[in-house]
Amino acid sequence: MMNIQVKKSFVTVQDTFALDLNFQIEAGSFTAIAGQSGAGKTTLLRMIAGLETPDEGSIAVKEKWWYHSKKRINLKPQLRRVGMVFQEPALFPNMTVGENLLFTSNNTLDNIIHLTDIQSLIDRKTTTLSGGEKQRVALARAIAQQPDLLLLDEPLSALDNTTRYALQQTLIKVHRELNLTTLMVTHDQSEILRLADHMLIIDKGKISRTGKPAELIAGSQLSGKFQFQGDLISLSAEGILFIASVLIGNQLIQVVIDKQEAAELQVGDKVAVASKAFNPIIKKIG
Amino acid sequence: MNWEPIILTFQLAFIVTVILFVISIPLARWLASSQSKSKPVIEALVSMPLVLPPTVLGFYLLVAFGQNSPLGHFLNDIFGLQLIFSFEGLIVASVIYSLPFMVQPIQSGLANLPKNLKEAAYLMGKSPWETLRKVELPNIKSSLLTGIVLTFAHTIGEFGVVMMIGGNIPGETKVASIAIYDEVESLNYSAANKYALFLIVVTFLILLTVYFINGRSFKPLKG
Repeated sequence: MMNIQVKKSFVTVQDTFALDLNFQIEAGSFTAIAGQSGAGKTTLLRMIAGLETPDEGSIAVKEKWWYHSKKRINLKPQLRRVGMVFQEPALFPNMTVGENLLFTSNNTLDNIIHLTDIQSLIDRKTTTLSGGEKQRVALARAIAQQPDLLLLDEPLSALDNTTRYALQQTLIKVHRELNLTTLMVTHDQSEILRLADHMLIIDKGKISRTGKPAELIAGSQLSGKFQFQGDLISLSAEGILFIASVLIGNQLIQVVIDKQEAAELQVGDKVAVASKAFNPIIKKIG
Repeated sequence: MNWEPIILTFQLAFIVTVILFVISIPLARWLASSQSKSKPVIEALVSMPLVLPPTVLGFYLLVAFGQNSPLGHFLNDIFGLQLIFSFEGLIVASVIYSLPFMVQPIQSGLANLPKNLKEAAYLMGKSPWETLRKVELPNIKSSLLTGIVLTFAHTIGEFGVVMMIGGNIPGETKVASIAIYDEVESLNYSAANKYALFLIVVTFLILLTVYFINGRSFKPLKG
């Protein structure tokens, strides 16, 4: 269990901006943090990691204070047991992939190397890696130190779709295997649906909504019109979610759905797809 | 050709470079990351030798270290240090005079390093010192080399400050640039030419070697 209650004000070019957040995270959960740019998502992660100091409040992880303004507790980042993957891969250019991992930990890392699928990269210089490979290594390095908390700050946002999809698979695998409490900042709705079991939406410095991703994201789209009709040609399982492939005319559209929706659908059903705000959503029409 | 001024010059340049390397790393790191209000003041002070005529610096050092000043008196009484017209004095003056040539390249190297490298190391439990040693410095080798070369070359080329505070004592403060001036004054052009030519060739070779190594080993950093 993790309790976070932080306030911080900033002076920006336009005006002052106040972040006032108060929430709890279940141990072992995968929580997505969404919200518009400049809503304070990255700052929140940085405050949890100890890279920035809140004006006031408290942060407790596993019943230990990491930060408490009244008790004057403010653990250094070194003591917080946080693994973090930044938007820009922060691999050390002077070291190989293996050396980057060993810089974190002297434990045997076979399991982590296998889990993140970087066996073939170990002896490479980090400067020769592709964007996706870099983030894969950055993830391996973040979990190699056996953190209490994994923070992901839009690590996949700069990657192309195929690479992003592969890394999402890896994140699912890592989370399932290690059961690490994970917080991920992301803009990508399908990413949230695929990875997260819990979601926070930050708006204007406050938490506007929390809940299950499928409910929040689907809920925000109820106004969308189901204007595209087609045939459901396949259903496949993806972690906790399912992918419905719908043929509309000669276009194949993939829709992420949850278990309950999948149970109500059958291959061959006529369905309608709405595509208003974010992702496509689906409903059975006959 | 009398080798003494040449040897003295390189001794001075070497010692000054070593001292400045040690001093400049913490100073440059502070300047690269600090948001303190005193930072612009320190930055301005560090850069002063770039714009001041060397004679101004030399003059005030002469006044400060002279026997009539409290500082000069104190250094002489307590440490037996005589900083006027001595090799030690030249070292102190050169360290001040060449400070920006070491600090500025290192500062800009550190400032251009992605901030999250340092943060990633901290999150891995590494102390600022270990982070500096194993992450920051190895990734700004080219800036370090630039600082070393510029400092070394600048110290070799020093004249005004040496003239003011060191004078012209053979084996003590008579460095190559002073020797050249001396020979020219006594209309001994061929001796002046030998010193001058030697300095040109040696400094060119040093710079060439360094930039050759630099160009081959250090590619610009990406992510």
